[in-house]
Amino acid sequence: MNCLHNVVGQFWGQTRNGLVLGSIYAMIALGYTMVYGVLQLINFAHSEVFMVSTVVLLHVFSEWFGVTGPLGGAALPLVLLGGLAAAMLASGITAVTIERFAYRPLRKRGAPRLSFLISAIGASLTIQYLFSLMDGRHSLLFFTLPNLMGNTPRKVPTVMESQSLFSVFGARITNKNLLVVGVAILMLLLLDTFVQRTRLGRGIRAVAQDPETASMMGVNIDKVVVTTFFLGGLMAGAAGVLFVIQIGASAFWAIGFLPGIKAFAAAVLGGIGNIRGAMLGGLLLGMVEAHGAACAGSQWGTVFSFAVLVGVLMIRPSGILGERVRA
Amino acid sequence: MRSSRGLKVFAVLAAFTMLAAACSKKKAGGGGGGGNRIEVTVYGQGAWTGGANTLVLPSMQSAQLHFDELNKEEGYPATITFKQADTQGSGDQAPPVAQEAAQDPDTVAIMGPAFSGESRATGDTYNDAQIPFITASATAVDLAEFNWDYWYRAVGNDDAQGRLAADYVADVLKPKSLFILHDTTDYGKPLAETVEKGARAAGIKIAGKTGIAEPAINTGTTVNFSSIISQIQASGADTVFFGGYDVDSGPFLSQAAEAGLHINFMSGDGSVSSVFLEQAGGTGSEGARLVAPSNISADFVAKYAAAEGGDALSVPIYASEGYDVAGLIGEGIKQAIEDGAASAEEIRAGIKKHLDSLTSNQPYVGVAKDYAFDPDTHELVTSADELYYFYQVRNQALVNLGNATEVLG
Amino acid sequence: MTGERGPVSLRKRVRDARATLKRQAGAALRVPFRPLGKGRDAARGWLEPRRRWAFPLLAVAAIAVAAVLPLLNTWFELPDWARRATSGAALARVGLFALFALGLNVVVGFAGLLDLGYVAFWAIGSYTAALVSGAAEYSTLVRTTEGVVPRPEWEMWMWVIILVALAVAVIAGILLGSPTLRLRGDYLAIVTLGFGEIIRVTANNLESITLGPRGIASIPHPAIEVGPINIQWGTLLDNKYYWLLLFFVVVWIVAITLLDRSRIGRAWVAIREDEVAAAAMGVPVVRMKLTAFAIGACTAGVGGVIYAQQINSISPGTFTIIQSILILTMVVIGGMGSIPGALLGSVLIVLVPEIFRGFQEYRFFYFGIALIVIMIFRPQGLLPSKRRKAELKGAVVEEQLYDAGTAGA
Repeated sequence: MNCLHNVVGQFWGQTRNGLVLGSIYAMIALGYTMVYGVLQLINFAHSEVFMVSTVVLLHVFSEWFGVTGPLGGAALPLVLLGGLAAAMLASGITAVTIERFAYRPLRKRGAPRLSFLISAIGASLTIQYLFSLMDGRHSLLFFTLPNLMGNTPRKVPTVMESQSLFSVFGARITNKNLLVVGVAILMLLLLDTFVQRTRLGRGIRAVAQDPETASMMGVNIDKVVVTTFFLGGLMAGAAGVLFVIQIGASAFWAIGFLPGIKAFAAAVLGGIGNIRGAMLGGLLLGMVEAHGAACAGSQWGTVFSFAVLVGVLMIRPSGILGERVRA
Repeated sequence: MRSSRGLKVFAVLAAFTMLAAACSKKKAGGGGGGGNRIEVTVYGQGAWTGGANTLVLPSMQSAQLHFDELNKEEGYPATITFKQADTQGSGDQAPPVAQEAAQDPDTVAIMGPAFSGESRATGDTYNDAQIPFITASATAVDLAEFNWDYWYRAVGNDDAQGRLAADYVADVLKPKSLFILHDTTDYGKPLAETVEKGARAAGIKIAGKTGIAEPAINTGTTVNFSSIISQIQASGADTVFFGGYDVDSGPFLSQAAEAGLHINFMSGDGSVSSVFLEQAGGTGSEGARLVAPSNISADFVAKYAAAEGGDALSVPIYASEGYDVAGLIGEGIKQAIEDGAASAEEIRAGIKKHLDSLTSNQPYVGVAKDYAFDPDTHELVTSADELYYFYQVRNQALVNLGNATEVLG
Repeated sequence: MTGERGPVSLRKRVRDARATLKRQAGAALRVPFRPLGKGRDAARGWLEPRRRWAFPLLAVAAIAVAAVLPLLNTWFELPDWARRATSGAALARVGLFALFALGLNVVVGFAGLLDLGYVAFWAIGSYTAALVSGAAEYSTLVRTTEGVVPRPEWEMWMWVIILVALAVAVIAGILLGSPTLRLRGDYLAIVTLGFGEIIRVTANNLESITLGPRGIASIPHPAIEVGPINIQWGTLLDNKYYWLLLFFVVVWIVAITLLDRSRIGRAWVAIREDEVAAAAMGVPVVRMKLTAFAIGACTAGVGGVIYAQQINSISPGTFTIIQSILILTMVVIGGMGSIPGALLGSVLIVLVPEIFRGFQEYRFFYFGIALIVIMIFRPQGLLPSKRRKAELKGAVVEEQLYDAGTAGA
């Protein structure tokens, strides 16, 4: 079979591709899964949290740091860290803002799940199109929108030059590959530690398990919710930076759409509400995409991922690592 | 409490904004002009904004240039207002835009549609409204098969482009094996497949073929080519032909360079733009070959650059052709009015009559070439291999290798 | 700062003040709408005892007014915005999306299943029409045959095509619905979204059947030739499409209302409120859910057929996720589970950008805000059904049982 021959022949290369791709999906998926764990809500607007980080990165690199070409030496880590910090912060703030305006009023009222989903879709549309209108020529309520994004993709200056470091069974591993996977693992460890060891993290776990009891035990639900959104936003922000650096992507208002859907599928695949599940789901989905491309060609794209998702859900509706079932 | 009141204020302000936006209708420019010049409107349909606009703006700017010249010309019997019908190149955004253009009572002709997909989506609208529409850049072959009476193509089509690209690959690049890559759009896929067919006929081994599921031309999002690059590496191909647009070919080359993939790269007219050069980067783009039915270093280009100044695009693809289409329309308007046309309908009919009257003996002489249209297909009668130009990227600039007759002999 | 029961903290005072102001503002906001409510109640009061003849008469009157809309343009001199809003093409778009909204309303509103891949059924309807009518064959024939190929004669009754498309859509609805049966609302959303994308990508890639990215063109316009009756539908701008769609909308409204009042409708309500309890009470949950999917699917299928025949050429790029979201927005804003709501939603979303030209670019931004605002302040939509209103408002008591001023001190 041609497919099998291709997959075997390209195995190590595509595995590397899948791990890199998957790390980015995993980080975005963390945001989806955490919010779901705490609020039982799919945050459709999370893809826009991802998008905001790419736009911020664009401006941080080109305007704050004035980067015009790849950097070397000490400047590179500094600029990277600066960009990462700014982008992550921006994403975190976006996530918290979405929670405050699109979800909290519904939560306070005890609205049914469907309302949250629809409000989420509304938030997603709003932010996407707000950014698409931000080209200095459109105005909203008599304020002219600043020229931050607009309708044309804007290339983010390349700060890092790709260097091949070593090979694994014939598959070249570059410094960018290591950066992406390394940052993803680091973020996951930090998040895991936070959730397991800190007080606020315990609060998150408590609310995820049983919000009524948690609130009775003195956990401030609002604070937990805001923290959850903020952390998810930070993760998505980091994912945005890595996405741009890995493939030299241009910032664009719709950039979050596809990675968002795939990451959400990854979260569901791994078992939504489960942090480790999100990581697993992300990596798995990345691998499915890469090896699927080797098998049948890339023109089928997302179809593979969705087929796998549907397949898994039919056999195990709660996802691979299961999910914390709430009454 | 604050939320309810804030909502009321917001609602009022929002309503005001919408009203203000709606009421600020832009009146048609028109411009007086001396004498009894008839006011006509021509719409330019294409990607004025959006990621694909570097492929369309040069032709539109040149058209505007020519219309301005005509408007200033003594004794020219009309004042032409050139309006934007911005579709961002998308066939799905096109129909309402085309409808508006078609329903404008002053419209006498359409320049465009610039892309093939939007041509398919809007051709019937213009044809049924009997408005002549001339494209300076839509190269898909099947556009001629719709039997649109009012459609004319002022450039060569993808059958020729694909054939010549295949010839170039076979005669000049002489690869060990060829990998066919396309962007699954209605422009890139047929072009790539035409090249594939030609290459096979020439005896070249096809190492593989794949398409991009969600190309940037559709989604605006840069594609991650890592899995495609791995496929190409595994196939052992030393040459890749890419059918698609600059927003995809550029990132492909830059990612390929980073992945250490060293191949000969060739693409079609969709990649001939500054976006391609910018996205591909220095290392990625070096040595890439391109083919297009347009000469970007023609004499006219100097005039275009001087006229546009800072707005001129550095890769003025289809600029000459855009200028010429404007000339065709302008000439048609003049002929129509001289023959007695006064209303928009009459002028449209007059333009069509003029276009149909061009023959290879009595063509319209433009800056790029001579124009005469085949009575059945409305394609260029005067199309020949010498109208296709090959380019190579050296030091992030496009070098004109010459036209097909010169290069392929 | 001492209240009746001792010192009151600042925080509590602020919270109480906010709550009171919110209540009062809410009551104040409702004041201008009171006459509307009173009018509606009065009208209902008058109509109820006379319902046997009043309701049908009203319905006929409403249909008559709707049918006459496109003709207003020829009878009166309408202002620009009204002309745009009542043009045949705009009204046909309203009719089309009204049909889609009605269908999605059954799935989302009645059965409570959040389907984000609704556009898939629209696509299936359109492609079925294109294939069954011979347009695909014609397109391929044109490419491979020399000379002019005559356009396909309309050999089949339009109704046959619609029936075939209905059948195919129903089957598709059942096929796409079955895997989702065991899934909860959130998972259902993403899986249906995935199906929508799968259909689109498949249409793009399965070139042998769907002609790939190029799409299928030359789809014949509808025609009815039965004995003495000979009605031909023309191009895009023909008013007759609107009347055809109006016909289907009316038929569908009647059918769905009957369904809603039947056992199936009650079963949907039970499933929507508490699926587990419904199953325990013997409601055939699986069958009811599939029925909802099937009905939604065939509605979109019929709409798709008419769309394909009107627009004349379809391509995979039309059937994107944003269309599903657009239809969902109509249903939500109008009122989930409410038939007049679905109609209102479609009218608003299609006509407002049509009327306010400047609104076009901002529309999705405002739709997004509208979704959020509606969910927060009026989740039952603009024209709600009483039942949905009670469900969605949740635990909040709407009516004030006594005057706020007399409570407490």
